[in-house]
Amino acid sequence: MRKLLVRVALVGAAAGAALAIRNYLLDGAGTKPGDVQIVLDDGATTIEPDPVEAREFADIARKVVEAAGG
Amino acid sequence: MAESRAPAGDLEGVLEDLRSLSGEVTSAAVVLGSGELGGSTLAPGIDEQRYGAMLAALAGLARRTARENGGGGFSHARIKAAADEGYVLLVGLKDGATLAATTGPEARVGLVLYDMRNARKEVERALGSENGDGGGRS
Repeated sequence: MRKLLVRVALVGAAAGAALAIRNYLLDGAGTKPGDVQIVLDDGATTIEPDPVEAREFADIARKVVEAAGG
Repeated sequence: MAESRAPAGDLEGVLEDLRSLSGEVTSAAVVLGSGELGGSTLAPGIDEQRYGAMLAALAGLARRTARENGGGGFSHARIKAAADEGYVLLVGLKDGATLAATTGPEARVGLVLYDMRNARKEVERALGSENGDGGGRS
């Protein structure tokens, strides 16, 4: 019985850790290529900012979307 | 008092048209070159100043990135929000103003951008008529 409880506790801890890692990755991971695209005023050149800048774009965009949703 | 709100009226009608034309647009707004919110389709109760300030920051960042990469400004930009919350789409207007729209994560952003670019002239006309004139370029 005790062994079973220990196993259940271990499985619970592992599931919790996996969930925490998943949330961390979803929330804190860098942007993927193509997430931020800017077309210059010549209408033909598409640029993608570097990962740090792209992250800044994505974070502000998230706040805008949240604000728009109420 | 209307705080830092600039031209509205006709412009908000155009923005509402854009939102109803493209059902995937959750909000549409115009940020003026001065950084003020020119008009929006935001529901009552939403903090317009906060929303406008963040849109202005995003437009400023896009403009700066475009200039750093050899452009004079940006034609349009597509930004996927962190944590897959949706998209913010920007279309550059005359005089440094920006037409912005937000969508959900599953939106067909290409189609929304197409609608926004089609609405650009009308938005600029509304801005021009409410400012008295719309001359100049960004």
